Amino acid sequence: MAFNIDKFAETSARVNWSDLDMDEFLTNPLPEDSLRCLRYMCDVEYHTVCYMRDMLVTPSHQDQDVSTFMTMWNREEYWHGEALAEVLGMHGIVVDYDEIKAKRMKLGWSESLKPLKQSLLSNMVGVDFIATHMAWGAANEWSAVAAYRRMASLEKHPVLAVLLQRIAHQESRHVAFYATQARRRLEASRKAQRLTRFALRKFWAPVGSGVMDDREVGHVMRHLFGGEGGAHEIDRLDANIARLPGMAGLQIFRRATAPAREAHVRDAVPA
Amino acid sequence: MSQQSYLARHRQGRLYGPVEQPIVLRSGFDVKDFTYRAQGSLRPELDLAAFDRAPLDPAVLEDLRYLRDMERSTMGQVRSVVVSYTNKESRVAAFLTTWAYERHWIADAYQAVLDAHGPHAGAPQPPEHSWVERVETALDNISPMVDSVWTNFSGEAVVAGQTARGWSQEASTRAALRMLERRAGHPELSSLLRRVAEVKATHERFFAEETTARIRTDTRAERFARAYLTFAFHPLRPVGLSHAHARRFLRDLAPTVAQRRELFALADEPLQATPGTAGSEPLRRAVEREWRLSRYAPHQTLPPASRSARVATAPTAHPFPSTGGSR
Repeated sequence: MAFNIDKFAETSARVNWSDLDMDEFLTNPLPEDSLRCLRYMCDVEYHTVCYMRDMLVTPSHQDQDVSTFMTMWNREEYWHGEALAEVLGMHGIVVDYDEIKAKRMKLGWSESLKPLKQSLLSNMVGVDFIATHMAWGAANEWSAVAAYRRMASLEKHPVLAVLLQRIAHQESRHVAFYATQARRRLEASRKAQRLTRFALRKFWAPVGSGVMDDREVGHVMRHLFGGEGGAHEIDRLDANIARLPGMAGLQIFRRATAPAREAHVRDAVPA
Repeated sequence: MSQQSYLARHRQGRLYGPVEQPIVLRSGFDVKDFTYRAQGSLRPELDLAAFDRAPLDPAVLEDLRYLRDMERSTMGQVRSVVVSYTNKESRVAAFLTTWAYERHWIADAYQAVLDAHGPHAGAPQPPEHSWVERVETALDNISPMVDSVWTNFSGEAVVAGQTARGWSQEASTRAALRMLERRAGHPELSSLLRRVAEVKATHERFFAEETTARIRTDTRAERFARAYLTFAFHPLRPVGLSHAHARRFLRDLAPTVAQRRELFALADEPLQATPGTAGSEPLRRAVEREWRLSRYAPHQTLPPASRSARVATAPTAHPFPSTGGSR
């Protein structure tokens, strides 16, 4: 079914948590491992403006539907960051403008020069580069939905689970946009398929890689996707990608999470 | 690494940020409150049947299409900011997120009015392919590469340049809304334009306070503000919109010298109060540039108002809320 951008925009809203009893976290706090995952998610959500920037250097922003989506998507993701920051704040962890700026400063020139790299590629490849961005975005959003649902299911915290399900619901709408766009653009161009397959196979890494330290990426992958339930989720994510035109057989999630899942197995085996 | 050590890496609850003093400049504008109270769709406030009873004249519809396209160009403007150093400024980025959202709904309201005039009234304006547009498009394609490098070498001072442009754009748009309201003389359109101006007054207030605060704390910021307002900037023609449409729009809004004086005064006057931007007169200068450019292009243009039209001419009473107002 085609994605209806007007309907998406009309129903776009900031995620609500005003009806949730946040004081529950004072009496029933989250364990440290989970807080570490939440902080990762929070930083990635606030970092959406940087992912949007990478998309904006392609000609896609001149497309009215894409422009509308990016406007709503960026705002929804910003509010996901705000919601998670509120939860972290209940545990004494501060995520405010200073903290976000400090994080971006810490990323240094590698992050600052990303527009240069993306723009060069975009100008060299042309319009097919948008298809790659859309498939990449779909992979990121699929994994975000899975991560939030896994976290809600693993933690079983009465307030956190509700909040994360609300966030996951919005993320699944983002998936619909990216997957629809990717499918349409990939179907239209064999070159786009080859380019996208190459980019995903060679360069895709879990969302947050390159922004967060490797040990944080490893922790989140191990915590959320380790174990049997995690492996099942990874297979499901790879199946989603494989259904995109020209992407059959790709196992980007399995490959990207393999080291973390192996570490999980090692940790689980008693010495 | 042990579980305990993750929280132990925090200092006063912070993982990355310094605990001694804030690193983000905070002007008087409450960005949190702004993001919280974002204005969504304006359609519920519109009485579209009023346009059935009294349709807008074709020239006003064309003006409205131009205003819609200006609002729709927001992502292009956001791009020029987020590829630069300014992307590190989390508070500015948070503002831009909501700013883009509100501008989307302003464009949507214009579209609703256009659609009320038939299926073709809101059709996209045909693109122009003059050599000037082609050069601009080429420059626009390479600008993210260039800007990402030099602005990061320049550092935080560059933010003032970008916020100064935002300030001038919002002030000029509010001035144009006022002129269009008078030009159209249509009560329902007036009601929408006043509502839009109210939303834009908040945007203008952010850019004004941010620019002023940055200029006050950094002398380099003042140089950037002035440079950004002077070079390759037209407050009422974002990159991507055609020169011909911009000229037609200005000609229709302000056909006489007296009206042009008024438009320039309304648009450029707000920037006179801050030393760093005083005397910049971005709209008047941009129109002068357009006039010079038009000698090499076939389109009819708006001759600039004389020097006496400078912003020293006080505007008449402004019907829209001042930027100092709150929501």
